[in-house]
Order: sequence, then structure tokens, then C-alpha cells
Amino acid sequence: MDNLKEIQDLWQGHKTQINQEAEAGRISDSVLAKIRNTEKNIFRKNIFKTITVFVLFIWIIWTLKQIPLITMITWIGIGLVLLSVVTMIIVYWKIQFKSSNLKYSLPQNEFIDDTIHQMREQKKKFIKLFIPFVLMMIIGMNIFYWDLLKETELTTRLIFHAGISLFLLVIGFLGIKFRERKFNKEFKPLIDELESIKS
Amino acid sequence: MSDKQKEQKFKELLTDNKEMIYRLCYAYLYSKNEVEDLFQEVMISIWNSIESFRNESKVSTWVYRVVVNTALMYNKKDKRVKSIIKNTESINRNAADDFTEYIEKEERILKLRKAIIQLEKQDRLIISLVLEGMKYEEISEIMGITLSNVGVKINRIKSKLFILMKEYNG
Repeated sequence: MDNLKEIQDLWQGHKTQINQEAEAGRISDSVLAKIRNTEKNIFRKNIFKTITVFVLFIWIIWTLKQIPLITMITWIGIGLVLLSVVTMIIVYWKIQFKSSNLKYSLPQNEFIDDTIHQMREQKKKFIKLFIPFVLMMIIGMNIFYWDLLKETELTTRLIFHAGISLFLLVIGFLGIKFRERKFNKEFKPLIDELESIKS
Repeated sequence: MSDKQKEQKFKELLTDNKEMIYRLCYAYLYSKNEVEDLFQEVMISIWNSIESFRNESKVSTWVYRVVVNTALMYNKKDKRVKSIIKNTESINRNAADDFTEYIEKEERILKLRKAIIQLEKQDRLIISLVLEGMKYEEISEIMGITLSNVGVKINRIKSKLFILMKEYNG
């Protein structure tokens, strides 16, 4: 079997499982049913996520409303924190890498370039989003505690503000590091493989 | 494109190309479960990409592109390939005395698949396009590489494949 034509004939004449399934006319219906099912599941998950964020948001507002004598400044602080958390969650969902967004109908070389670009962009977008998120959290929390601790002595207040800011900065730094580690584990090998195929 | 049109187009594409799609998956992966898994993923990619089809290329070229790109992104359990090959036993001739010809053909296909699976990922895709009888121009359009590059690659892959097949034929 060292002749290409012979191998081609053998290959094209080979009856696979699919021929029998196709003859029975089962494929397109079963595949369409599975696709519809997957789409429904994705839709349900998205609805669930949106409702969860909305309920969480309402619950926090309601809990805070129970606190007596809450001032406008405290509300501004809390508002900033909540706004940044909700924005972060929503934008994070949007920028997540989804294989369904890949342009499968491109010629393979262009597909590889586009896929690598999408993966790298996702990492860049996350960092671009995460830094303002951490800064907004720091500002919001400081406004909140500035109002809450106004009766306390200055040194305690300064220590508290420095502590909370430092804590959030460390959390932010760890968040970026964690994300980088995740990227290196999940996407880096794939990017390297795709690049090696291209070269 | 309405849902009904999309469904109609999808069914048309599937009816005309399912065997080729399956053979490509069949050349790319070894175990039956993985082949079927990849086939399903290709179907989903076709469904998700169907609205991007603009009649700028031949339908088959468009479908091949979706198949090769989906296969490229299919990363699951690929490392198991080598151990599967080592453990695969040849077909039992004694059990099929009445189907000698069929069994011989199946055995030749098995050897061919064993050889293909030893190739690099992209080479597996290119050789399966060659086995489908595609012209160099079409392969160039699918892979996004120049015609001369396609020629060079195919010659290299063919030599590698024939060497591997000789090894399997003993």
C-alpha cells in the first residue's frame, strides 16, 4: 500500500459508523436536539447569574437600610464599592474567553492568529478592568470608614485607612498573580502549540 | 437569518458533508468515543458559524475550514493516543472467515489510521484533506498557506506516512 491513489480509494470507500447513522436519517435531528439543549443550558445559566447578582445587590441595599442614621457620605462609599463589584462581575462575564466566539470558518493560519489574539486580549482586558476595580474599592471603603470612624481619634483613623487600603492592594496584587497563573496553566500551552503549528 | 433558515442550512450542510466530516475526525483521533466527541464539537462549530457563511468560497471549503479549526482546538485526552496504539490488537482473522475481504480492508484502514495518528496534529489534518482527494489550491485556501508551501508540506507528510505504514506492514 505505497501508492497514494490506492490509499485515497481505500479511505474514501471506507464505510464508517456515520454512513449507517446517516442512512437512518438520525444525525441531523439528534445533533440539532443536542445543540438546542446546549443553547437552553447556556441561557438558563446566564439568567441564573443575572438574578443572583440582582438579588445580592438588593439584599445588600436592604441590609444597609436597616442601619439607623446612615449618612449620605456612607451611602456614597457603599455605592462606589457596590458599583465596582457589579461592574466587575458583569464585564468579567463579557470578556471571558468562549470557544463559541472563535471564528472557525477562517483559513487555518488566520484562525490561529485570531485565536491567539483573543486569548491574549482576554488577559489584557482583565488587568485593565481589575486595576480600576481595586482603586474604586479602596476609594469606596475609605469614604465609608472615614464617615463611620469620624468620632475616633486621628491616629487610629489613619492606621485604619492605611490598613484597609494596604489590605485591598494586597488582595488586588494576589488577584492579578492568580489570574496570571491561571492563564499560564490554561492558555499558555495552547498558545505555544498554536504558534508552533504556524511556524 | 431566521432560526428556520439556519436549521435548513445546517441540515443541508450536514447531509452533503457528514461523511467527509466524520472521516476527518476519524483520521485525527483514534478512539471511537473521541471521534464522536469531536464530531459533535464540529457540528456545534458549524451551527455557531453558519451565519458567517457568505458564499465567498465553496461550501465544502468553508466546511473543511470549520472542521480543521475545530479539530485543532480539540485538546482533550490527546495524550492517550500513543498508549491506545500500543495496546490495540490487530483484528482477529479466525473470527471472520466468512468476511475475509471485509476484514482485510478494515485491517488496512486500521494500519492507515495508526500511521496517520503518529503524525503531528496539523499534518494529520493536511493528509486527511489529501485523502479526501482535495486539490492543492483548496488545501491552500483551507489552511491559509501558500500553494508552494502546501506542496512542500504534502510531500514531506506523504513520505513520513509511507515510512510509518511500511513499519506497520512489517
